[in-house]
Amino acid sequence: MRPLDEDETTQVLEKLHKYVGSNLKHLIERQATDGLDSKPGGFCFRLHKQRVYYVSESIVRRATNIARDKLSSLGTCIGKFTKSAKFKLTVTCLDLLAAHAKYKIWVKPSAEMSFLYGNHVLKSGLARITDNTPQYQGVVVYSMSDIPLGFGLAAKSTADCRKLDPTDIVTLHQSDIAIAFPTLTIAEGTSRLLKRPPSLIPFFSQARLF
Amino acid sequence: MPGRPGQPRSASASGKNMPGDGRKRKRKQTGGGGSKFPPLPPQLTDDEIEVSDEDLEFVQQHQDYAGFMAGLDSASISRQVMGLKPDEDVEVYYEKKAKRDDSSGPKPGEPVDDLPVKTLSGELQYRKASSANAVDATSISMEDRRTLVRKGVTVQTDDVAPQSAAESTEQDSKGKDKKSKMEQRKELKLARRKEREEKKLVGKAEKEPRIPSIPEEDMEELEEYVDIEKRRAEMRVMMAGMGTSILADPDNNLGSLRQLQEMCNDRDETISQLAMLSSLAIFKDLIPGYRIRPPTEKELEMVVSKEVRRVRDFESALLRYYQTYIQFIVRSAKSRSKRMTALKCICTLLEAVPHFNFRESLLKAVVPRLMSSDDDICKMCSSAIISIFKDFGKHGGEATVEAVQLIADLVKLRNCQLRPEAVQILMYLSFDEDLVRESTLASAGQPTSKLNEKKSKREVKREKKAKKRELAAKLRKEVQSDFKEAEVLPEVREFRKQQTLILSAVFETYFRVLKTSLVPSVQRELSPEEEKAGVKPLGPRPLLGASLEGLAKYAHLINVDFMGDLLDVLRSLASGGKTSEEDEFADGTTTVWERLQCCIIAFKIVKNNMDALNIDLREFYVRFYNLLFHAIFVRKEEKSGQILAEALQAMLWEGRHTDMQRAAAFVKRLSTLAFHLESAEAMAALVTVRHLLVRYKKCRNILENDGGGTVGGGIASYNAEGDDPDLSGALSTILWETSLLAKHYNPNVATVASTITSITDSNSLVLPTLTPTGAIREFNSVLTKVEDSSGKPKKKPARRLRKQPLSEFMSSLQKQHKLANTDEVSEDVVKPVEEFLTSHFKVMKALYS
Repeated sequence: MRPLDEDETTQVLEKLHKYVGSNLKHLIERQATDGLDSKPGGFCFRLHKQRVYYVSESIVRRATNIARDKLSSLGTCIGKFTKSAKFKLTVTCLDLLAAHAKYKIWVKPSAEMSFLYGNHVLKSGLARITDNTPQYQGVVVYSMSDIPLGFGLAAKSTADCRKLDPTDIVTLHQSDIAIAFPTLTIAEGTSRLLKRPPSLIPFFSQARLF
Repeated sequence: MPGRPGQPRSASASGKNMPGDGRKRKRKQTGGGGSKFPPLPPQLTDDEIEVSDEDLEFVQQHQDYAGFMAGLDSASISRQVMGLKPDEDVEVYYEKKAKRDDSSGPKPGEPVDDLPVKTLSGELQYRKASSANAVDATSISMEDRRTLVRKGVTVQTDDVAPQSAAESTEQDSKGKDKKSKMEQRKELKLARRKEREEKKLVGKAEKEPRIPSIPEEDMEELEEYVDIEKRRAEMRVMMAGMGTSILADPDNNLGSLRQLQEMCNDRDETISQLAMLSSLAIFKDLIPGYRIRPPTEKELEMVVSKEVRRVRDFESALLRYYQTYIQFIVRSAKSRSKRMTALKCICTLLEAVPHFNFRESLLKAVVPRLMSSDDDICKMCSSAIISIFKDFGKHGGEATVEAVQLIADLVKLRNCQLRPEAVQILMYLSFDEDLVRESTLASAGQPTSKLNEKKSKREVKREKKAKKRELAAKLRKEVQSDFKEAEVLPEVREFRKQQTLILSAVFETYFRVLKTSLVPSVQRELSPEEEKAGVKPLGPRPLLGASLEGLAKYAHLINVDFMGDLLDVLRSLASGGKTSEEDEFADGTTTVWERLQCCIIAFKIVKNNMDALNIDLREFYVRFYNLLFHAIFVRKEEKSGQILAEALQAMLWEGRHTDMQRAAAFVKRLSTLAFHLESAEAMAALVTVRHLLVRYKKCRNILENDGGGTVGGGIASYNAEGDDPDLSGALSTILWETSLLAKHYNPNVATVASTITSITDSNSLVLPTLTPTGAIREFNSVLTKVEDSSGKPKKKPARRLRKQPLSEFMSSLQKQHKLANTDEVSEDVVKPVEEFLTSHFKVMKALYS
């Protein structure tokens, strides 16, 4: 576990900036409220085994006591560096993004499943979109009951979305909570759950997948 | 004969008491030639004396007594009495005598030639009255003159009515057309109105000569005045005559219009104005219900029947006169003195005959006057234009297009520095909603041509038949197109085109205003003469409010393509057009209320175009969230409460779906603000809070949150002063405000606050029916009655005590204290104080401990 070097920091922040924009400031300056210390302190980024974690400082202090090979994870994993040293966000950062996202789209209940199986969001499935979204802007995808389902890129700006055909792509799928879901469910041996993931999604979303 | 000038004093007395008498008197006077030596009857020749039967009888009865008269030598008697020479006629003598009397020269204002005037109706008008009066005026004493002034004037004014009345009876007997009758009545009314005005004038003039000694100059002025009045009266009679004659037979008497127009150019402004008004009345009735098209050369060459020629001549003459008239009134609308009358004429013409030729020049005269600093003129012009907008059936919409385009040009020219009325009147436009739909115009089937190289006999036959059929179809088409032309209603396509033109001009105006409002403008300084004239300074953005209202009204007609740009402009207007936060409310930026209006309109536009796409206007929510704070501290305008309620309604009440975080943030902020708002506004805010909590179950966490926590999706603590509602973390706080508001002095607010707290308890929720705007409307008016309603019989006095605001309570306490006038505070004073203060601070303690 080590802090990110300058190059890595830029990569991580640039990637996050695509989704949260100017709210990145809030994300970094955020004060931790839970923790064992009387003064919890802020949050910071840590790199551990090619993965980047968003951790409160009190946890970092405690984690230093654990050997590197014994430490499996800490805080919230927000992404990982690939072998070619590129940074990629994982779905586990969804909660963080959702809380600070500037641009959101909401999908119709009929299109939820399609998105969770890894498809792009089509115009026909689009229920609502933030005004003034530029093209290729990182967006967070919500269900109509205001639960974050995943994130992606806006394929078209809001203005262009008006004129699209129902079959045109509005949002490019990048990651969704169902990615984590199969592994969990299979581990538990409840394959039946696979058939209706959305009803369980709130539970997993709230439970923080790390 | 008290009215005779020989007895001036009694005449003046009777004239004062019985104004109606004047007419009779005058008639007798003019008939008798009213000279200075009335007792002798020699002017009358034998023919003039009417001998009644009674007279004859009398003479016959007393024949014996009158016998001596036969032998009288009248010549010698008159010589004896007057000193006449035997060959001199009595009339000659009188003339001489008169000459001797006024040998001082001709009087000022005396008509030079005494030739009679021939009126249009063919009557000869003698100038007896004036000459007689003129003679009198010089030969009698000053006091007599004063009487005369009064008498003369009343006579003049009265003269019009009988004449026109006589004419009207004449007309009625003819009973040819209704129009002339109506015109008669109008003329009569006009005459009466003038009469009244004149009387007022006279009333003013009358006071002056009552001053005991009148200096000589004043006398001259008076005489001039008398003269002017006389001339006016004559002119008025002439105008009335001309009017009736024209309307009785427009074909032949149209030439009188020229005379009337010459009168318009009269030096005397009153006469000119009267002529203008009477021409207006005439034109209003004469103008046909169609637009006159000048015949083309080809048409002129053709031989036409007598009737057609007559109609054509009449039309061209009318057009010519109308043109000169319009040119005149447009010109005189620029002059200072005749401005109001001319504008009145223009506006009336626009309202009455908007379909007729030269409408463009009328509109061009009216539209720029919308920016006039004179309120009356502005009002008159705007009402004329509104009437054009409203009954477009009269002119088929063309005038509307022209007017709207002129307004658009005016706004462009003046760079939006205009009175708001110029844009407000656009609200009166009406658009046909059905026209927005695509009109299904059946396209004619393409004629299929078969080109066969080889044609059998049969085919040739068939082809012939087909040709015949085609011919018939062609004929039918022609007939159909003829029918279409004859149709009264304008074709749908034409109508559509017009509406598109109007709409584009209207939106051009609105967008221009919005665009110029973006630039922080410095208020234009008033020039000194404008300030003197009491011109109200226009605000930095005089048209913005009106434009925003208009945009809200026509939001459903805006093309979806424009929507993006429009929202961009509104967004930057809502944020004050500046990016830096420090001088957010510096001079020259939009006010809080204007910004709120921008937000409202953005929501209305999006709502009306909901079928296109459901858009989440996040930016506007953020703006609104911040503006809520400012709304309390900025100076209030009259409509501020209304605007606030409208914003709440448009953004939070009607919005289909909002983020839970955001909804919670608004719930929290609104209930915090409810402390600072007036009770009606607080009511609106609380009603909105209740609505949000009922609608979004997730938000109810805010009611029973114990110890904060992570319900807020990552944001663990509430940031009360944050700019972004999404990041406020309101879900991790608790809505303690409602329990404090339940003790609000206004019972209505208290009730709503307590229902909010108990939302989670009650399972069966009745959706609230009271909307924010409704709340404002209801409680702004009810506000004064709150005191009464708080004193309902079921309320206990102890409760009422608690509901009193602290300051009020203290002041009443002080009064009591003074009454007691003792140093030590008595027990009955201390007890309620303790009770009040403990109840008041109990909540506070609970909050902060």
